[in-house]
Amino acid sequence: MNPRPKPGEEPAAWRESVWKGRRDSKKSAASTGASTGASSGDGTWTPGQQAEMEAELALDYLLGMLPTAIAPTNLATRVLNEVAREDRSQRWGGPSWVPGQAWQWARRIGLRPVGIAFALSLAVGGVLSQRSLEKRLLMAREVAEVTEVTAVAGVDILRNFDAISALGADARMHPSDVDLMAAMVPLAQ
Amino acid sequence: MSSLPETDEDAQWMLRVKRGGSDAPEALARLVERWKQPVIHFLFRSLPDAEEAEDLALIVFTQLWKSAARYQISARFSTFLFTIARNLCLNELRRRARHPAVSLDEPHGDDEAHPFRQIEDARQVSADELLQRGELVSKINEALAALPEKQRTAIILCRDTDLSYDEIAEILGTSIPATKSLIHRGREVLRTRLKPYLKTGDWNSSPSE
Repeated sequence: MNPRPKPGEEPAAWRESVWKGRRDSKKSAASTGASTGASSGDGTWTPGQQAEMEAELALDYLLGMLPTAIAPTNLATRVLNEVAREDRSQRWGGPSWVPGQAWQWARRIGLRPVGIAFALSLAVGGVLSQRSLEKRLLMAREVAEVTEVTAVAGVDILRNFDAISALGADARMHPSDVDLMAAMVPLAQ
Repeated sequence: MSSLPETDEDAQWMLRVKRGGSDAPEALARLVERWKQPVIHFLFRSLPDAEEAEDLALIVFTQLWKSAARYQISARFSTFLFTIARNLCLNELRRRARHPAVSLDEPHGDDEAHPFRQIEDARQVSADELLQRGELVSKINEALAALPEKQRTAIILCRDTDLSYDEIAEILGTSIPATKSLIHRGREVLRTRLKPYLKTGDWNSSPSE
């Protein structure tokens, strides 16, 4: 393809075609003489446009000097292997399991058992906690009963002379402990 | 399916990949075969490192497989693929900017102890010529790398792939006039930066003849 403008070709259209790359621009330019302004198409181009054309062609030539990368022939195989590896790791966790995909693995495989285990632990915990509460309530009740039975008159009773004399009278008559207690309780109140 | 042109084979293959049936791997392999060269070429121009371009191309096509579910039937395959390639390339360039590293393979213009990268050329060329050409290639790559990302991508996609302006505009997320403006401004900057090399008139000569 000749990089030089064809007769009647608009500068803008020509420029855009150069942007699209003309790898053989050097050879074509050499074959056409490549002197500035010597072959500007239909001759309607201004000197400024001709100068720009030359600069564009020169830049295009420079860009054409850049080396090209050749795609490897086994790229498709490598891509398929990589895709299969990732697919396997996402589905099963597998030997190529990586931490970044842990959440996917957990979502696909682990969430259901984890949910069941959580519910079971809640239920077992509830039962155990209920039993513990019942035990403590029973213990509290027993402590309350014992406290009630062993309740005796306080030290204040000693300040009450009526009680002391009553105790003395009772002592002479050797009353039973129950009678003594019965005598003291009203005094203590 | 009505909006899909019958001639758009790539979109048909991509739909097979999207459906994920037993023929999906074969469809992906065909797409890789058809598009590997322009993709690697684009990545190589943008980075520019042949090995990294190859590695990144592998990631691009793997990402294509992963993103297949997002592929819309109305979208052109080329724009879908190059949008992925551009995004991954941008990530790589950002990563490089955050963690700059000196490559042992990169040419070092000021250090004679490190030779320039060999450039394949069918012609018999002297060591001096190779050196000069290596330096020139290095300068061109530097000038390209210094361009804003959109300008550089627009220039590379326009010159080195068969994509239309419409497709390039879609990849860049701009309008067609804005794309042409990006290319125009980018080439102007390149012409300014490479002016010393443009002035030599080397492009007018024909060394091979």
